[in-house]
Amino acid sequence: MIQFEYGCPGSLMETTSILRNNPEAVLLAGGTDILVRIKQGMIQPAMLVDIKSITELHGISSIEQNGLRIGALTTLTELVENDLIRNRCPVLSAAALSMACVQVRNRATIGGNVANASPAADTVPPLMAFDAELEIFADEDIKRVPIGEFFTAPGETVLQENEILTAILIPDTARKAHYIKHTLREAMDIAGVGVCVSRKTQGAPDPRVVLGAVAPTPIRVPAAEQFLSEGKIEEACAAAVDAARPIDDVRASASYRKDVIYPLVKRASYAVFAR
Amino acid sequence: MSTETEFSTIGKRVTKPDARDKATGRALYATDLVVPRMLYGKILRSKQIHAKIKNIDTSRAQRLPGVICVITAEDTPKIAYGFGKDNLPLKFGKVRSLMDEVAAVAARTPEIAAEALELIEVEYEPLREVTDPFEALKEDAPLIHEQRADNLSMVFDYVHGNIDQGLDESDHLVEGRFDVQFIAHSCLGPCASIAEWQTDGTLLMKTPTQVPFLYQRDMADVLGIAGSQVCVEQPYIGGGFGSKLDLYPYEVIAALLAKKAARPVKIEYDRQEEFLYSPVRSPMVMDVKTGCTKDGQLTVRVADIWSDNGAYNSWGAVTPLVSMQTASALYRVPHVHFYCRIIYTNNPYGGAMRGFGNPELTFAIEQQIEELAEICGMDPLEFRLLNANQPGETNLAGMKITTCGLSDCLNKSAEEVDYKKRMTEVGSDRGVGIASAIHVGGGARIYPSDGCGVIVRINDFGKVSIISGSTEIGQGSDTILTQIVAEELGVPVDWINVVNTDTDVRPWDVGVHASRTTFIAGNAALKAAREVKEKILETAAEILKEKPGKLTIKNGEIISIENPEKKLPLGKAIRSKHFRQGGSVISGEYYYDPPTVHQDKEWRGNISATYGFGAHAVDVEVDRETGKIKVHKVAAAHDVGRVINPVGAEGQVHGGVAMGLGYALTEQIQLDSGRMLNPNFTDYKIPTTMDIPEVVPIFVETNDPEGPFGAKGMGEITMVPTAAAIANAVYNATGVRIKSLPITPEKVLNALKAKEQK
Repeated sequence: MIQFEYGCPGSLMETTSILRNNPEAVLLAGGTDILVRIKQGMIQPAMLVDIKSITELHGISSIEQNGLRIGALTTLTELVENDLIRNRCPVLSAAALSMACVQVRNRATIGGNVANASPAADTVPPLMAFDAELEIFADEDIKRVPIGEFFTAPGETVLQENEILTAILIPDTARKAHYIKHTLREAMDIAGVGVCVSRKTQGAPDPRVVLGAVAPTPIRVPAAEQFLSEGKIEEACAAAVDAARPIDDVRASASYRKDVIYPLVKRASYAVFAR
Repeated sequence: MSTETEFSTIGKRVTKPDARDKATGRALYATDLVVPRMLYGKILRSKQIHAKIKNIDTSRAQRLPGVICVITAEDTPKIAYGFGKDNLPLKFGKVRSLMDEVAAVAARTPEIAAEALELIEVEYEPLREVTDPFEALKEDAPLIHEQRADNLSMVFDYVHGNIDQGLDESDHLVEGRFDVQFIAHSCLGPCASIAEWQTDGTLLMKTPTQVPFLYQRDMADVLGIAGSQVCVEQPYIGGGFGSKLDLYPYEVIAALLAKKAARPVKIEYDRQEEFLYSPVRSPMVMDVKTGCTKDGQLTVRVADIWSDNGAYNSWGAVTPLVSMQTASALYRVPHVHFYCRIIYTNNPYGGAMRGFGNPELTFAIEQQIEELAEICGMDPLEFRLLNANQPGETNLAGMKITTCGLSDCLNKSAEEVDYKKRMTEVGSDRGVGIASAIHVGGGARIYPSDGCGVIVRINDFGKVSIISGSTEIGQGSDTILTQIVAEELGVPVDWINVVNTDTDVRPWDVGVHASRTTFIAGNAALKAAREVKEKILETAAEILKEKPGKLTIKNGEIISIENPEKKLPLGKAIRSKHFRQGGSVISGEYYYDPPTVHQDKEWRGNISATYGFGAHAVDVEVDRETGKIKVHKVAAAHDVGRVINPVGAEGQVHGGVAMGLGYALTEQIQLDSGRMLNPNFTDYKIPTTMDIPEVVPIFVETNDPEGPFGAKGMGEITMVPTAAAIANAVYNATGVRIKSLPITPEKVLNALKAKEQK
């Protein structure tokens, strides 16, 4: 019988106190990942701390001029359907819609998708392409970490044991972006390669090129960004290929992943730089 | 034969009687069943791919509270079973694959049973493994079954004509190596059985088998009891596709645990277990050669095949029986040699699967047809029509082709994708492809019998019960039998109930396989209904004072043909037989065994009473930069003799095409040293609804004289030509020919790169 203790704190303070007293506790949000891993015997947490009743983790709001604050417990379905997201950051809605199935999207959260630190997480390349920041509750204090500094390895982040990801902040949504999720199947599939390219809608393009599923963490490719800002798309594609460090797994071979980065970066670049 | 317009229910869209229960979740599948005092069984599998078992210590497991009993091979009669008699329910002495059953536990809860498995200690002495069939044939290869001289389980060798002559007569010859992969049946309903011993010593198995009557014998033999002591009851079955054609160790283990515990025991698989421990479709490597004259007449076909059988012989081992027919009978080829080696390895073993060797070889043959057409400068459609099977032919394998709609299927499917025009278009990433298929459509005498019994009874109120040996596995056969009986008896379909009960009540049947149920059980039902009708009309004739021949039954009423105002409700006629001295019940029975023969030692003979034909034409788009294939349309034309139920027939086409698409593009069991790397639906990729293109079912009705109302079987053939048609369309779009399944984007991209470098 799979057994674990279950905690259901009502506040962030209460959560961190539970975490301090139970170093082996694992946070539970939508549970679409954790529960599957528990059932498959991949992890055996002594305690699950269900954070779904913490109100400040919910909600999507406007910040600064045209920024967004997305509560960590925002579900993928909310990302798909919420008007603020759809208007200001449609690429995030599209990435969320590409994930799993309706039932899973109704449960799975953006915070979970980010904090699980899968190299193939679909919400991450768009967030990186918008210079998102992560709001983290630590020691009764709130700090901000740029998303690019958050991931350290597959499944690993800079989050400490008693820290909680509370929200994802996009300070400035004035970008045009395009995300391509390359999969074998049209639904219910995990990215073999993910590519997101963005540019500022006003002034200098200041492009971002982000790759998913081709390295231990999602990566930005500054060299490709530089080429794109000079209008050199082909060179940018080649730089992206160079930056990738894919592996062979059941979803695709490393060499195939390398092969498709070039056309995908090209397509995403044309999509955001057209006209 | 009457024309279609005269039928009351044949050819009408009839909703399956089980549809409502299945859609609302009310239908009880084996996994749903619970019986009083039931225990839960779990099986300890081998941790080694190939090893000697030195010792098994179950003492700790036995002491775990809640464990009722633990068994190993020592607690069993050690009788090998399976048609190769090479498999033990619990392994003794050695293990040969990661599917191997080593010990089993019955406990009060599934959780306790699982915990108990962890406490069983098995000491192994690893042996050298072999997971490559070519390696397995080498002289120094480790023996999977050490009592045998080598790892060659079986060889199938078939010849007609004279190959040398055929090669001599060929102006053009194409040769190539094709390979097809391991795939999983992916039944929605996983394996689950409950074994319960009755006080009279009878074993009652509640199990989703496709062959309840052969199962009785197999189970009895492996337990060392009499066949009469085994009763099989089938709950709703969540798909079979051939995977439930054999008795499996888990079912025997449930019976053994139940015997020892003296309580009912249930064993059920979760999805991961279903992937890891149920049989697979075996992969094949096929060296194929096809020749033709300069004007496109086929001359010769040679298929030289290596099949990775895995560690034991289940029905996967005899799939060449059907591949052989693909070789000998798809188109008219005067000189054919088919040779197939069934090779033991430490991989998962193969079971039967829809199409049974036919999609495999069709993938190769239908690509070579196009290669030859191109060399001859002919339109591939014209090339096929020139060589197509024709009605009235007996081919060189002794197969009597009676009705045959192949040419119609080719023309109609081609038309649906505008094949002739689009075939010659260049410069786009779209392409069209076509492939044909032949498959048994009138049963298949692979056993000495190909029979099925059906009893039709009618009660006091005119309600009709069909008690059939055949098995509904979701394919819709109960609906077909209902329509056939309704048509013959002249009653509405909702007056009819198919009684699905156990083998003690139902008449005998070979099983649901070889696309045989509509044809075989349908004929039995038709003739049983005819007997009932005659009895009813005799009785009604007494009451209505008419000759029986002047009466008929329409919409549940007996009426005089000449004086339609002279009529009698059906129930009244039946009651008149019940409420009288010397009366009788009204029932009819028929055992239909088709006019076919068991093949001789050279694999010749008319194995099926009729043959089904089909052609799939597809429209695909290839992304040249990523290799991804998008299928836009599949036009699937099938000669089904006659459509009994359009809903069911369309369903078979949609299902077969979906399965064919998975086989063609995305499905593959990935193995590393015999261990499956993707035992889940995330990474074992069956197509989702988003992957299914527009599917256009087209039915060619040839009205087969032997079929019930002219119908032929069609369950399997719908998946046979899909992969070949897609491969041909990819070639048409890109100029690269992919001879390996699945046709992954990676294979396409690599082939495109290789082509550019040339």
